[in-house]
Amino acid sequence: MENTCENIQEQILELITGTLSAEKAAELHHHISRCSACSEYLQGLEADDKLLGGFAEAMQPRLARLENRVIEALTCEPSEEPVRSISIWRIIMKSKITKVAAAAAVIVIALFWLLDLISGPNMAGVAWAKVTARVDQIDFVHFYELKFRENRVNSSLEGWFSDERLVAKKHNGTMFFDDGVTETVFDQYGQQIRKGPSELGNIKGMKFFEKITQGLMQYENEDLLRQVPSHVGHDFLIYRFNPPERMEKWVESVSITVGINSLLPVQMKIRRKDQENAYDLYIFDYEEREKPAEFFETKSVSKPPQGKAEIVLDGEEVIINISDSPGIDAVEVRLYNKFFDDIGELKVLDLAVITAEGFRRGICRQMPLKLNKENRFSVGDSKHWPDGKYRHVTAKIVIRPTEKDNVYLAEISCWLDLVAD
Amino acid sequence: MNGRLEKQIVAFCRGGDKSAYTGLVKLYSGRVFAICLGMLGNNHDAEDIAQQALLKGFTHIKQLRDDERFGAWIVRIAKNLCIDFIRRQKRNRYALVERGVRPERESNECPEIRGALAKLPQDSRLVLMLYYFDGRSTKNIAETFEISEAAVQTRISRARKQLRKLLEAK
Repeated sequence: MENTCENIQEQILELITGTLSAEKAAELHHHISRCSACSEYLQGLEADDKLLGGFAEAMQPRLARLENRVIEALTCEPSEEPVRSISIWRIIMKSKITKVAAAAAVIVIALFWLLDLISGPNMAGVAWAKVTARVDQIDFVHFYELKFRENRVNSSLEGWFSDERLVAKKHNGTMFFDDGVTETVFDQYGQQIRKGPSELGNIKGMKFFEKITQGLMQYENEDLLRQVPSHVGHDFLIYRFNPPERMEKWVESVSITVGINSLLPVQMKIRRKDQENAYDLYIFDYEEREKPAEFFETKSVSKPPQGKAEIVLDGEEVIINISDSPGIDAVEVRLYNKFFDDIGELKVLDLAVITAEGFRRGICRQMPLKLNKENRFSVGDSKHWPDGKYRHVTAKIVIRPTEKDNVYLAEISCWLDLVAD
Repeated sequence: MNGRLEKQIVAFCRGGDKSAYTGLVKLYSGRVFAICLGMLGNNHDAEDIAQQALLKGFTHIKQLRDDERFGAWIVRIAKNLCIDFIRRQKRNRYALVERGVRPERESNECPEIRGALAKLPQDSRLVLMLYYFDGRSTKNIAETFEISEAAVQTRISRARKQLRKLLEAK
């Protein structure tokens, strides 16, 4: 073991937690590739990381159960107030003066209560935050998405969301299964046409309702959270929102109808301005699960699309075949040093995808390399494809150093999203 | 969730709004569970005490002085409940043994790592649990313990070395 090994091993943890700079990480890997003691130490830590990560993963059902138990207990737990008020009441009743004052207070409170009963509860001040909080308790929803174009239904989709799983069926028979980790899509013939990371949740922490309400359920938007109903009906509230900045180009307005007792959304209408007489309508209900649990199981399970190959720094580009990814044949990767005026020399990456039709399309160029970390890139357009057809391609790549100098291992997942209608 | 928004949700909870509190439960359950698991080293007990802590958070929310510091406050509640639990356990241990009852319930979740974690000193286990259950963020841990991120790194490093030794010894 060299003298520096002790120092290096101190830094190996930072390498694993991803807090080291790329340059420092490269230095470390350079040492590790030559030192068997440090290499062994790194392997040990990586194995521990996997074990601890696996342990945390195994605890997730327990954590979910904990949350449910707390929420259930909250709904039936009496608050401490009544207990405290009994003892206060006894003190009040001991004195004649406080007894008379208390009697007067009771009459005043009763009058206010009667007034409130006559005029009904004030729902005009119910902030949108209350709806988002209520929605968070929901673990089942059945919904329809209807796209109206020129006053007729152009496209429809029916879906069920239960136990953090989503299954949806489009009018053309396309089925979507999403278990919160992976989304699998089948065409009307039952053929798998896409498999990739979940569109539902876990990605950027976006939950089902946040996703389906185009981000309106987000906690981060305080202006939206403070918004009160624009209309209060006998048994419903209507919240009307101006579109968030990123939706301004295509959305005129969004209105959501909420049940007054449940405070749950029952309908959402998105008026569009990119097309005439166009709006999207969503209908939600929260009744019994119409579909059995098996319905939420995907028809087939296969490994995520992946390809692996060694690449040489400053060498030729490498074609990596991608298996089990409909529409994608291979990915082309090049790794090289590039000098930047203001930063200096960096290791950078070029990535291109090759489709089943043989079309080649660059996904990223001269991207500074982050070792041992997942780098995710995606492009979606029609004009850069030879046939002018819209495609959305996503690629995830992890570059790992190997024992050989300047040789790295590239691990790639790449998939093609559904071609838009 | 940013501080201002958390403050707003805490304000709803102060008014007795249980549905608003569920947002805080979802946000902090991982951290509270990690604290309990770290201090108690037993999944079942950790789950029970974490539940008590999260419920106490709601019933005692009026005692929270700074609405933006709910995270630190709920962690303190969890720690105090764990300390009470450990004291009670020590008192009960003899009685349990005499009656032939096993003090710890069995669990088959990741026995290898669980066994090693149980042997770790409490502070080391705590820092590892927080790291893996609360978004792998040294910043979160630094906020929880009110120490620097560098100090967190040192603690994680020490804990992992101890864990490595324990795993190698098996």
